[in-house]
Amino acid sequence: MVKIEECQNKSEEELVKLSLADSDWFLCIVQKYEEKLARYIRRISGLTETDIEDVLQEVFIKVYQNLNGFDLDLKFSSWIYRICHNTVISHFRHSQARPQLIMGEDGEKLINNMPDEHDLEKHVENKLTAAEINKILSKLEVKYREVLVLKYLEDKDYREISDILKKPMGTIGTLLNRAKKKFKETAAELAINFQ
Amino acid sequence: MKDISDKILQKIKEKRIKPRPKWQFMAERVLLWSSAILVTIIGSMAVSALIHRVATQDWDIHQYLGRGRLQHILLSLPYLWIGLVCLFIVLAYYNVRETKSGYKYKAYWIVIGSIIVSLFLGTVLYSAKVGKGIDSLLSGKLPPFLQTKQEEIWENPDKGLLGGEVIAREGEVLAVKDFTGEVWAIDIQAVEIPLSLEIKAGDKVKLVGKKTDEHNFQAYAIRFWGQGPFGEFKGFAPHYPKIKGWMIERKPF
Repeated sequence: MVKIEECQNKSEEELVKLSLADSDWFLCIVQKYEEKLARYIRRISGLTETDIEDVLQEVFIKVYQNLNGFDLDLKFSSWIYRICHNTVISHFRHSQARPQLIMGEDGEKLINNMPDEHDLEKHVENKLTAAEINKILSKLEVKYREVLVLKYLEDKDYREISDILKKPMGTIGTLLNRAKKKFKETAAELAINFQ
Repeated sequence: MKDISDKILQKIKEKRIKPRPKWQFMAERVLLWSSAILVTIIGSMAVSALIHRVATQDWDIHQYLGRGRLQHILLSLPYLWIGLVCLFIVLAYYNVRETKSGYKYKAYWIVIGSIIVSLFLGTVLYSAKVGKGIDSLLSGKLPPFLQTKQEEIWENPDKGLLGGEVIAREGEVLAVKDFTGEVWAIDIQAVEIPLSLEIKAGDKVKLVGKKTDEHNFQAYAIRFWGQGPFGEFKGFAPHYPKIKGWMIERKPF
């Protein structure tokens, strides 16, 4: 069995190679990403913890099965997030479910991280409650929500978001602007003070 | 969530899940690129047939058919080839999108790129007469509603349009068998035929002129079959620029 300490001085590319040779090494990849991906799934889907665990297992099994297809031109994190994103979308398609809320303090982080081009700092001063933010986000389409989550909660840059969502970088910029606009409009529709 | 690492590893071992072998990913990539190349080649062949059709279509005879210019253009466009070219551009787009880096490009750039490549290759194939070959190969085998028969247009001697095969020539009179099998005596005195060009038995021709009686036709202009105003023989009418591509009459008609 591989020990945690052994994982730490290995690069992700090395871990991929080692996992292909011996599945025990895959534990390092799982441990490195399980929390991040669980949080990501929770943020874009609002699934229950049991469902998140199921989806997460499915993600890691897919990652393991496709290790030989890992594209070295990508960052490993972008590749694994891409698989995770596709699995969540596919889960929604199969279950016909609509993604739900972004929970608690994540909503506040989102607001705090948004640039102030629309005077968003003012809104932060307004102290929108997490509940209000959740309410707004729950009304947004998945495509807007996921881009907001990746940019402002997962702190991914445009290149990474482009690689994860498999969309051109220009489209990501447009999508992000629309998402922010939609966020603002939805706030207005819900009569949440967002000036 | 705590034991998920162990659960996953246990599942991998229990179900004997293995990573897909490298060759499968390679094969997928090869398949994708092969289909992209195939789509590009077939698309370029369709473009070459489209160019051939545009180049050989008689865009300049609308007045004889009693049509307006736009109406004639709309009725003469090779819709089958235009449709096929569009279809192959769409297929090329989806193929490129599926490649490793395809998602990095905006849809319109992929479409513009596909059009440029198809136009370039299509022009090369047209120059090699591939377009002509494909068009004639397919035109006889398509369902009737997809065929645009040029022959029908040239079966209108009353309107001044006659087409057929030269079966004999005597001085300035041609014996032409039209597409219904009727033989006509064609007076070509009024046509200024370049010295470098010889009209002989076996040539298929299109004639613009006037029916003088049941079997006689006065030609004012002649074009070889398979040529149009943008065809290989353009520029024969320096004194009559309105009707390019025709061997032109000495007197205006």
